[in-house]
Amino acid sequence: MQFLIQCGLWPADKAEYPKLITMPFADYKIRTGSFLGQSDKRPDRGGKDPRRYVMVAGCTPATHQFAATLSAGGLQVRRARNWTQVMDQLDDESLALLLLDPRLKGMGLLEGLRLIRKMNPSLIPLVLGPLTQESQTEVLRLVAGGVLPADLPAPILVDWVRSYEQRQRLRRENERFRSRILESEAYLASILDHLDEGIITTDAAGRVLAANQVARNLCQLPPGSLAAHPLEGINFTGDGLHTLAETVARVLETGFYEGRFLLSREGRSPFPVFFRGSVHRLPGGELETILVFRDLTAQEELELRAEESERLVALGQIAAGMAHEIRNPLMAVGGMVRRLERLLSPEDPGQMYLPTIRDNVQRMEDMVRDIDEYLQYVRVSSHHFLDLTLEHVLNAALARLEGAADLSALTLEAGPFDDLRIQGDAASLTEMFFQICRNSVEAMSQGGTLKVQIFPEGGLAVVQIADNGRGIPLEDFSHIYHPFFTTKMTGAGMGLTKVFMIAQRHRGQIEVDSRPQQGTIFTVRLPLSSSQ
Amino acid sequence: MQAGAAKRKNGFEPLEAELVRSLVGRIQDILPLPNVVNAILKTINDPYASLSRVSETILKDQALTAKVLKIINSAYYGVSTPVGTVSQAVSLLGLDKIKNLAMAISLSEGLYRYSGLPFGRGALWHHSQACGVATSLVASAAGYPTPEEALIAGLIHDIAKALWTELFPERFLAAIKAVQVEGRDPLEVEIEYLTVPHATVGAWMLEKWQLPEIFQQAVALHHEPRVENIDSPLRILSLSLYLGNQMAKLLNLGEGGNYRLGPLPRQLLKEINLSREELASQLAALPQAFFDFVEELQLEKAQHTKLNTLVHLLQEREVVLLVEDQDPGPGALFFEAFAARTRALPLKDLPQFPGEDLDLFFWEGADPGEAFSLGQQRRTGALRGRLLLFSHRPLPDKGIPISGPGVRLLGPEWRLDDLVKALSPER
Repeated sequence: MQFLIQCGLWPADKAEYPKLITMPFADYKIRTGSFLGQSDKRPDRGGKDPRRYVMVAGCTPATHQFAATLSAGGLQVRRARNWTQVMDQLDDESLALLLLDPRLKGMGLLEGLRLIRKMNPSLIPLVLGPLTQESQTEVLRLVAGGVLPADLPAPILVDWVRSYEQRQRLRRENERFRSRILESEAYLASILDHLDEGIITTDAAGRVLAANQVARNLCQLPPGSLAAHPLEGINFTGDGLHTLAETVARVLETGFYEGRFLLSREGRSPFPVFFRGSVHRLPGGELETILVFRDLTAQEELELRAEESERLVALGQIAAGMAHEIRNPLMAVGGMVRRLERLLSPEDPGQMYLPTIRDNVQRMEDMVRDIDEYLQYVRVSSHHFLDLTLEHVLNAALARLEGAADLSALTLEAGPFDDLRIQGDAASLTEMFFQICRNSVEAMSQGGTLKVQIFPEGGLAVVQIADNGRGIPLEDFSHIYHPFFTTKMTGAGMGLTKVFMIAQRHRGQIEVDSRPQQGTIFTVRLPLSSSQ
Repeated sequence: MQAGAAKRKNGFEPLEAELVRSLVGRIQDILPLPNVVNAILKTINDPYASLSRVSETILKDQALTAKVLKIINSAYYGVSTPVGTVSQAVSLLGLDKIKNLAMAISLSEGLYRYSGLPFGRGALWHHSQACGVATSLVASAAGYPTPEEALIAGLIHDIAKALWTELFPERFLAAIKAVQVEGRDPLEVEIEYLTVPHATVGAWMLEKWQLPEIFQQAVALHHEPRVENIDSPLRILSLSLYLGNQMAKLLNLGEGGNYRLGPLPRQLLKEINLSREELASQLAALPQAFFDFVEELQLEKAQHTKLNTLVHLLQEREVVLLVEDQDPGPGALFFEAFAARTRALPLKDLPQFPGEDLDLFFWEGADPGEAFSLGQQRRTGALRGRLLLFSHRPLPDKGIPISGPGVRLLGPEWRLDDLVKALSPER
């Protein structure tokens, strides 16, 4: 019965009213908010507004009576004569409650109730009864507020209206808090899901409480709810520990624990993660752990690459230093060999050694020249970079290739090229592409297809140079960029070293994909010019 | 409900005009106008509005941006490489098209979104589109300097009906029924059920939305183009809107609640310097123009198979338009646009008119009695051809029954379904 009254369904027997109403509402403790139109001694953070009022809309004697009763009961009351006046005040913050006469002029009751719900969903109107059973059902469906009997005793009415308003206000406040909590939860979850780190929280027994998306992926946790999911079967090695469960136990033991671990999961080789675990003490005294994971794969790869590139730079510097030191003695040797040739008589048995000495000196001179040339490209300052069209650079490199190698046995598939612009030194870049192409051509001594294509890819210009030649043997793969590494009889072995250094000077990256007897693909990625 | 005693015979509590006005005052809470609409309108009459300013306007609206990109990358435009930015799209489509596009998308998403009720989803929006296209055809033919304005006026001319659907769906539905089923006068019914006619409510809404005054006035006048003492641009726009609305109804493109046709007095055409032939040729061009508009903007397609059937039925026939001493009516315009030939014949000459089997006679007016009896006289002589009688008013129940072989009585709603039936061979 209590529920029915709250819904506005009053018992037919009026003698029941006082019993039913006064009892439950007397128990109703209001902690927040304020009494309607009555000063409240307690401080109220919810923003107490003494101007809050009840609007009684209608012109019938019954509504006058209602308004008078409420007014006499200490409530702020305002009147509205028709629907227009009701609608005009619908936005008023101080409007706490609306009591409607069903005969209100302006439009139909149901239409009006629907409009109120549309325009101010938080305002709940009450309709003054009695109504026919049929329209009462419809009214309750629309407003869920209630229908008041016309002949309610004054004290009950005032009491009811007052507590009803408070109840509505609490309900609304609850809803506001609830939606605020939901909002901030969703906000937090979305932040957590967008972190690079995986985060898992567990209880003191090591059972999962929550995990963000990254952690779910890293640890292969099942989708959906993770309530009390055990952290079993996750291999997590490092520092003498072998499973994640063990590690969590260590965290609980020590309070804080971090280190580099190898995480292995099905279908993937173990990969490095940085792990940090800490203990969080809840207000109730229970413990929770917060586990943070960061996948180190990409970072360690980058570190390796940086190391490699540093080593190459160092090697290049050594080579340059050596070339510099060798140049002068070599020139002396060369000059002396030529003099010896002239000095020795043609019959002198020493003559037979001279061509070998001369050829080898010549080779060393070529090497020194190659190294000098390499230095020349490496030293180009990026201050002198210009806006270039990639197409021009590639065409220049291909033109040089035609002059330097016999392409008659090959098919060249190059262009048409997209219009991509980059910043750089034209001579260096031409040299770089020329060297890559020459390598490819030389790998296809039996004929084949050299394919050059370019395309943009997320702010980068990508140049792909592919051949179907003999490919790079696996054992050579790791040192193709090293200076003096060559598989040919001529040259200093500086070609790909140059390529690497030029790409690096242009903030580019090189990737090589090669399969023996199938071919090699060089992929060079260069930043697109910002003017694009 | 006890209040029942105060009710009118239509079963609804009287709606106070003051209340309607007050609700329109809160239009931004009920049916907010998308910001893009006003921003685009500002660029129409601004010769300095650059492409970039239009694209900025579009970019401010995320949903619109996505839609524009989806449209430009659709099969209709067949661009070879995907278009990724609004500025590219704007320069590809051109300023005029992008404005129409932004307008149509914002209106359909913002205002006509819910206006499915009570007559078929999207019908009001289709009617508004057709009216917009027709209005801009007429306005261009009449030399109106900015046909885009005419398009927009057409798109929003019935906007009050979208509001009614939101606020008073039962009343609106009942009012539509009163017109369609009981055959009552639309204006009279609107006043009875909804107190303020839709043209007036529409003008109030545009005023609240701060759309230019010329739109407010054109919409206010779109059912009664009183042209006296009105300056020239507004006169052309409001007359174009009146005619565009009639054209959309004549072709049954979409639905605005009824298919009642308004008069087409000679004086009205003279006011905007259009001949009847020119108007008929605009009407003939409307189906294709409407189709193009819908295709181009990738709007939801409307069905108009009946129109195609009719055009097919009429394309080789001659229609004899029976005229009394007044101006030819709006229905006749349909035949002038789509029949192979039309000729006018004074009604009194009907009995003597020699004819062939395929002849089609069309009469329209308020009381078909005389035309019917003259047709019967001719029938007794030479029983040939078919007589269509279109009555703009509902016929009283009593009186002589108007029916006979070869006679078809239509109206007061101009429905292509009825026309197709009337033109199909007799069983």
